[in-house]
Amino acid sequence: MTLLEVNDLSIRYAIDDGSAVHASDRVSFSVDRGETYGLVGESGCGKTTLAKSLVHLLDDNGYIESGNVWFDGTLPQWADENGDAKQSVIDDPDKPVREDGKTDLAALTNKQIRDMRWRDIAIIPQSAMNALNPVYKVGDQIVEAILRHEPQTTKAEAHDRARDLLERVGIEPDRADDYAHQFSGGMKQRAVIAMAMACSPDLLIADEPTTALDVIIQDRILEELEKLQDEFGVSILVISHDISVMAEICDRMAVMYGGKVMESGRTEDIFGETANPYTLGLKNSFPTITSADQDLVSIPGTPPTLRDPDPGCRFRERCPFAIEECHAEHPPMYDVADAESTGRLREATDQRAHGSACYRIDELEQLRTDALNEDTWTEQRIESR
Amino acid sequence: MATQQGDSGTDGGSVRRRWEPRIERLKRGWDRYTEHRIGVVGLVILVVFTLWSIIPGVFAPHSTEWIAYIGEPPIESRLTAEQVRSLPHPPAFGDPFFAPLGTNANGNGILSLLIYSAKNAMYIGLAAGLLSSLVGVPLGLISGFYGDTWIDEAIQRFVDIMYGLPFLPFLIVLVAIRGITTTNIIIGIAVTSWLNNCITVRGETLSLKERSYVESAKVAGASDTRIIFRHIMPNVLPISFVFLAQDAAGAVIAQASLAYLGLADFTANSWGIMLENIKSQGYIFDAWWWLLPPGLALMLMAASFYFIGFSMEDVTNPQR
Amino acid sequence: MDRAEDREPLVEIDGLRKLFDQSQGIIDTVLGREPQPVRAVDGVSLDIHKGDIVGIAGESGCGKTTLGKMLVKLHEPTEGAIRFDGNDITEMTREEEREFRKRVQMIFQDPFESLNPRMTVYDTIAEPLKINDMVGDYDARRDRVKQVLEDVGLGPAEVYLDAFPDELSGGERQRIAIARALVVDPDFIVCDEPVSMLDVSIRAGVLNLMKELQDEYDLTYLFISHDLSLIRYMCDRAGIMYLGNMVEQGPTDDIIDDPKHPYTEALFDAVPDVELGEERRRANATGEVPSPRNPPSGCRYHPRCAHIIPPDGWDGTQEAFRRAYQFKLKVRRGDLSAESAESADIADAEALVEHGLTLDIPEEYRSETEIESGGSKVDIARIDLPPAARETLVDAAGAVLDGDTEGALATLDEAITTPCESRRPEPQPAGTREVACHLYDEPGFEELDSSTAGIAPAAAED
Repeated sequence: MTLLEVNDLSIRYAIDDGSAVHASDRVSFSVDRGETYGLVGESGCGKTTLAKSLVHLLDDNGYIESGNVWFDGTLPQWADENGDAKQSVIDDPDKPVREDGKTDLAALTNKQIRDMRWRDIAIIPQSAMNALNPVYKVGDQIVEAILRHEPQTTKAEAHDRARDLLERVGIEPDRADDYAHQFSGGMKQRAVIAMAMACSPDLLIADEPTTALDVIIQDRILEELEKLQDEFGVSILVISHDISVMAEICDRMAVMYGGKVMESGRTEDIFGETANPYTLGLKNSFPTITSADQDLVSIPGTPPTLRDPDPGCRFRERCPFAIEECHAEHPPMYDVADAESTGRLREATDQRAHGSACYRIDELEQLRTDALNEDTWTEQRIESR
Repeated sequence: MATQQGDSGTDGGSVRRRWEPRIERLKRGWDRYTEHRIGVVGLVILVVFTLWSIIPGVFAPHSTEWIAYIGEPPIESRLTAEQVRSLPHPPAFGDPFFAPLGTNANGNGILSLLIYSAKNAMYIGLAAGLLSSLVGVPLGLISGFYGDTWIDEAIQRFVDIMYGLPFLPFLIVLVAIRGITTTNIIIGIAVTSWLNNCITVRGETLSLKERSYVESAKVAGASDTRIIFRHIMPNVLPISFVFLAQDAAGAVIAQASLAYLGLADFTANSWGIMLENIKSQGYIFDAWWWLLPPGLALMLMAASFYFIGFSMEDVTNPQR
Repeated sequence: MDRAEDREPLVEIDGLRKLFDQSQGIIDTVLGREPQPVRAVDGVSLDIHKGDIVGIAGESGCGKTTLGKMLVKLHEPTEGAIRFDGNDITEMTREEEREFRKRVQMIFQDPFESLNPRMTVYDTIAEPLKINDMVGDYDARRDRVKQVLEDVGLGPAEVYLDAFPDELSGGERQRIAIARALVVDPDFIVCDEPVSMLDVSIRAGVLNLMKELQDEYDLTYLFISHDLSLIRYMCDRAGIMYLGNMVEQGPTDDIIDDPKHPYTEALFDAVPDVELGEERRRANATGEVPSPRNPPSGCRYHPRCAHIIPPDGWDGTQEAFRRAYQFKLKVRRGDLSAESAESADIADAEALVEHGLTLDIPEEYRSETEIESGGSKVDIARIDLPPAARETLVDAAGAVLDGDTEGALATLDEAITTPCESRRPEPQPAGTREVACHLYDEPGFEELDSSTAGIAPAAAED
């Protein structure tokens, strides 16, 4: 069942001189209940902005230009006793609630979204290390989160729950009385995860959850996230630039470039049946620990600036497969399976299926073969500046 | 050695090519400066004051010795009792005399005094500001670069002691010993104003010297002097511009305050002395034309220093 | 197979140590506390041969960057020697040091920090030339800079010469940092995480460039990285560091395909991989890296080690010993105390032992009881502890419950001992590489090793 459905979401940052950075441009994806969804891309591709915009945490000059964020859950005052949206709210044309009970987060006010953060959607911030307040005991911070969002809980209950949460993420419960500086890096990260889970949210947004950690600790945290998901059935939206981490933990993912989704689908499809020149290039460009002799090929050029970009494909300047069409307009998402079986382009209708934004996926086999050839990438003339 | 000669540029083409990018950079810097409206305003004010100081005669309607009703020296007649009673005279435009900002109790034209006093303020502001930067910035650089060594320790303890120095009593003793001259007052102001400069520059240097471009210079074999002056100093200049401006503004105001307290060289013309006169002669509530102009001029000059300092900081700061 | 042995090493590092004195606070001085220096590098020996790319891998705080900085004389070693081309770099005359600066360069991690924001590309690259009085006049210098810029793939050079770093992308900046290092035509370059700040799609270009330049300029690299896949891609030989010690070094492929040191093994198990299909094995290590200010005695890794060696005469399994040893550590750290037992509702000594014998490791290595209880207890009956050890543990747990932690520790220290804690392992040749681990210093192994080490594994590989 779909928990989060992002439709044509465009986010802009206004700049003093009147132009705007198109940090995310008509992005669509959906996250099912209990699944781990990844947004992967290089720095500046808009992945973090996109995640922040879901819960209205954009910087002051950022705003949602258009699009909807349908979330299966609603404000406490709009919900009936089961937590579903009341019929009267659904019927009210002024309230952004759809017939199936999903609420458009993009249309909520900042005050309204505050009631949903943590209770329905929790965030593990990019610098989780700094997310803990140094002057409060770690346990008390979790208690505070619980009490704020579930006022009917008693203090004693909240304390018990905080200790239980810590224990579940592998911290001795009596460490709840310690301060953050008494925790090691990995423990802080675990504590932040425990805090995010305090009100048993439906969706956990983890922004680069392991980037600051050493590899052995990262390994344990990834295991922890997997366990939490099994236990609570929470959906996780992971944002990361680390392709190997993403490949390991995500069920499905979207590869972003220049504010656009280039390819999306199941992780196996993205890595096994890669169908986009950018993803093909990425796969060529990072080493793996298992293979002894590899030749890495980088994608020539640099990522585009997103200030008032022209309508063409965002990747075309670095793409060895670019054709005339690519300059006119950014390609829509095409259904990969369809293109492969029929050799014709058909716009994807199902967000879950493997899709790729490229005009040339009707010649997919050729693209894949050529992409493996180093000359394909090095021979084209790239304007470097 | 050959390199030395090469550096001095033996053929003109090479010199031109070397300097071209620098001139280009200056042009770009000017373009960026002019983007700041307050910077331009500050510059305009400062240019006016500068012209007043260099060629006051062009702007002032009279000399500073001019006396209402009588005119320029040589003074041959005396004022009648009636005329004396009318002083200080409010602004007058030709009848009975021309003094657009009126006169003071002695009959001197306020506008002329104001214009002739600009020189004094400019001198004090720039001299004290430059002096405190010239002392504070190098000491701060050295102290920061050799942080946690005896050099740093010595400079910092000295700064601590100087901080303990009470400004006014110190200045009174200084002028008592050396006499009330503008130069002594500048020294008195600079002696205390370089301290903030030094401490801020030291802090900045401490963080800059950990940057990897400084380490990179060390690996390339750069000497300490080169690292301090080529790699660290250009990066502390933006904040030292702000401090220069602050110190200059502070000095102008400090000098005025001192003059108001009677600590000034009364043979010179200055806005502070104008204010002191109106106080001592008891016309504060009667002669607005005498009170406001020097006060406004002081404020404008201090503001122009600030405006320019902040704009310069932005221009010289590559990360904007 | 080990060609390196036939060649003269370019850099020889011998017993290198670097202690950072942390300046003491007033309170410490008043209380008369001993200053605890940070042992950043603690006895590292390594040879770097001409034309090699030697990788240094390890987690943050393992001392790899400090090691690199000592090689370029940014830090002075506290102890030990570094010989570059036969000369000790810690005792150089001014003239020798000038020569050294021309031959050794460094590339830094963050290209946004390693270029002076106020210097143009030309000034940045030309600086080492000017400092070292290397290339004649302005025009000659400019030509040299242009040539290097083209060499690092930034052509046409004119476009870049007068640019400031903030006008360039990360990849371009790092290429300029490389050009600056290359401009003096050095022999040896220390690269400290040169691509970790760059985007994935750009990294490969910089790495390949470094490889190409190695041939063109006849370079030797020390390549420092936390990313093991990069080490594998770049390096002929690699050293793995942990808490200031070199735990294993040898040919990269051998180390990665068959890690010998338990830490190396855990490190490689922890690296996620994009290869789909089979489930990856997780890293079997407990806890986190301890502080380098107060590192564990003996083998630095023993408190986390999965293969910790039981004492002679231990009848139980090695796993049982590992658990018993962790019990001792928990008592020592104060994780097991009367209060913690109370808050976990543990009343008797037996239960505390069952709680204390748990291991903080990934689920696949845990016992059934541990998985069921969420890692809070084990079933002591299923752990193959020798009866004497079991008794000791129960006694100690009893003492802990009585609040007598010292007594408990004394009991444990006597019974639960390991050579890993008492003796520091020296680097031992093991096959093609050197491993600092007591598992590899049994007498028989040593003898076999000295004569045949170079041949046997090579044959096996073919």
